[in-house]
Amino acid sequence: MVDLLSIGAGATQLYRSALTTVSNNIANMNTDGYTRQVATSEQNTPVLQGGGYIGSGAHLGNITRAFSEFNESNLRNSSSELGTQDPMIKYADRIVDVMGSDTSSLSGAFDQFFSSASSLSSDPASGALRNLFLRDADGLAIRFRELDGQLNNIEKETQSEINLKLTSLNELGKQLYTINQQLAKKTTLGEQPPNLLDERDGILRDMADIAKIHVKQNSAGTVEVRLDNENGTSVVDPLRATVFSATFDAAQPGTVGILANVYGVAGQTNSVTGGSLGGLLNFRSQVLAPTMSGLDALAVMTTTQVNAIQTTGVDANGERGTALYDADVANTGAAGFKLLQTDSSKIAAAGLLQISANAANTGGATLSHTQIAAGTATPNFTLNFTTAGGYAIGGAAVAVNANGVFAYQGINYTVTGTPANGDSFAIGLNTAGLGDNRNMLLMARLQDKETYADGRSMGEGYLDLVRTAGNTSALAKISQDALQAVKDQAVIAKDKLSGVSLDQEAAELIRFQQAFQASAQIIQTASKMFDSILGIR
Amino acid sequence: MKISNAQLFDSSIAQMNLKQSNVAEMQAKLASGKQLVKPSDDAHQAALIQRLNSAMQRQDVFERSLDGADSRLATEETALMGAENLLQRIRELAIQGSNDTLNDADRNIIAKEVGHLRDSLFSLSNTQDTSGNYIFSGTAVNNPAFVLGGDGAMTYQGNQNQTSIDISETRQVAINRPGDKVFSSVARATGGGGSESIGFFKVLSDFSNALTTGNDAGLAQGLTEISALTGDIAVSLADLGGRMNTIDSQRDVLADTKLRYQNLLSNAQDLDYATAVTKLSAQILSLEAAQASFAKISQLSLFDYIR
Repeated sequence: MVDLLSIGAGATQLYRSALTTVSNNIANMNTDGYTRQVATSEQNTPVLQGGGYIGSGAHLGNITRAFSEFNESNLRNSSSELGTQDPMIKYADRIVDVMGSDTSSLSGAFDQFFSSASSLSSDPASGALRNLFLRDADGLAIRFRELDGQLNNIEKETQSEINLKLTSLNELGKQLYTINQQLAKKTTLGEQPPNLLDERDGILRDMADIAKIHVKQNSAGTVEVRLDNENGTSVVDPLRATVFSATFDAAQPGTVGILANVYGVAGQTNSVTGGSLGGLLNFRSQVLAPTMSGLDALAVMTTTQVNAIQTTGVDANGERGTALYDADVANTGAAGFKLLQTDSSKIAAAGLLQISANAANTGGATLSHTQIAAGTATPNFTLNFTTAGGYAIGGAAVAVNANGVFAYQGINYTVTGTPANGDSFAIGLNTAGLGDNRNMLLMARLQDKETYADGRSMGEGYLDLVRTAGNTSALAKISQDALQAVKDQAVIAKDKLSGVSLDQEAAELIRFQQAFQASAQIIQTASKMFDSILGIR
Repeated sequence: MKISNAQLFDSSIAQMNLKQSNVAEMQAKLASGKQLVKPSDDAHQAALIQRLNSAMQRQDVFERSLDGADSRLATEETALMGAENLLQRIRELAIQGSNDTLNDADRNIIAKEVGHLRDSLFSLSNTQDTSGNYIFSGTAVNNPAFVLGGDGAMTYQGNQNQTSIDISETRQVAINRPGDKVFSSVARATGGGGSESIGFFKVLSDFSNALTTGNDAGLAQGLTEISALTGDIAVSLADLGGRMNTIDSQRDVLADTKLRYQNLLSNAQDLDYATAVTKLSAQILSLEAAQASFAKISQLSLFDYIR
């Protein structure tokens, strides 16, 4: 039986619900993750009366979320990609700031070291300059260790941040598993409470910030989540949430083992890409590890080069120099860059050899030698020349080539000029050469020496480390700008559908208010009609 | 297209934050006067600045080396000029002493003066620089160049090494001349047709002896040998002059180089204030525009018109 009263009553109920939904939208306009809700009305089943169907009003169909899975997954993917850049920029910039600043950079320490070497070379007998050189040599060692410490701090920080991200991911997985269980109680998506679905989507967005995920939604609204793509490691499936953990190897900061415990046994997973976690892994493998190993290599190179010079010279006591820096740096890296000498008289500023022409020499020949390789034994011999026998050392003839060059015990000597019969040269340790600066000149010139295989000096090699980290950060900044635009688009697209606009709600409010008033009028009319019937006398 | 209120607020806030941080960054640049507030602003530029700083410091080091060499060579110059004058006087005395009209007493007086002059030369040969280094000892700078033996002979105990220092990336200058080249030896013929090397002070002693003993051959030989010694001092002075010229010309080169590096460094690191201030004004204007438009737009609401 269709009557105005029941149509009116049904309609007022419908519009009361619609108004409630609009009010709810307005109330939740600032709620994070809220999806605008829409009350839909449905016609009541018409009633056949006489020759035709008479409509019997409307009732509330459903309250649905204004939601598009496509928009939502776009947003998730774009925020995964955007999130990758942030740790890269943050930490690579830290490296550049530490290694590139005037106060903590190795460049300054190198400059200071070579500047002191140069000063000492201009007055090698000066005890004050020797002490300055020793101080700056120690300064260089300290700077190496400090930089290593800074990089290690960054290593530790990223390590704990990775652990933190994995803890969040595990927590989100657990929450999602619980929500899945709630959702599984109903069979269709339409029956699910909107707030539960909002909560589900919020968790998925949080997960996507950590790592790129692939989401598969079942008919009831439950979701299965995998890392990266449909074949990636499972994060949440209908039966369980995976527990992730990480292992670190101090010797290899570039490689981080992400372990996924899906079925009770933790196994390595390689499907972590994107998100802040992916960004952290990228930073460690692309920036941190090369920088750390670059610094270690530079420490070894500096030690080797400086020691090679120091050990082929003579110190202030007239003794052959011993290593300035600890050669164990080859095993310990920059952390073990250490000054061995504490006595400034041990600095080998003088050249290794004293070549003395016999005072009785009458010829015009002079003898010189080329640079001496590290590890060469100190020679001690006399070179004699006779017109009849040519050059000889200890009675044995020495072959001198056309350029006057001969090699003896690993050192090349050059005779310039013409000797006279009976001339001799004594070659031995340069014991009385306090004012000799030959070795310290070599030390000062080390600044420009092309010590890297590709012809760079040590200072250039260091600046390249800074530049490389800076390049990665600059690239990441460019990507970030581009990806921010993509994410902004995704947010706008989602918002267009799911966001709450007060203007829209105001219009809806008016619309449903008017409809409600009209429905109430229906009841009024029905009442009047009833009164008119009753009023018949 | 629908814009939700949350979206409107969020994007406006993000925009204003961005503009705020631009203004703050420019303010920091203006305050520091540098193009880069921190190295990560531009790693390449930062690396360039470090390299230029290194180069500048190198030039400072070379400048200090030049100063050091200057003072060392000035000491050497004083000693050599003194030695030349003394030797010149000895030579005059040698010519005077060769004069047949002199009697023994006159010659003895001359011999006395030669002895004193020789002692002065001896003390000049052991000149020390400001750091206490014996400048004529070769590299054995901690020992006097010449020592007075028990027999009254003065022998060279330095070595023959010359010390060079770097005064530019490619240029070196010697800062000493071994004493045995300055206070040089002469070759004196021996009876058997050969020759022997006679030390500087021995020549003077022999001459002094020849004066007291009235040995004419000895006097003639002394005159020749003293002339040779004077010649060697003159050579030493010429050599010194050459080295001082090198230092002077290098000073000019250094000044140019420093100026060039200073310009490069200034270009790389100093802020162009005119541009920066203009930029700051533009940024402030754009921030104000964003604030003003947000204030207007955010007031628009349909609810205001529902009565």
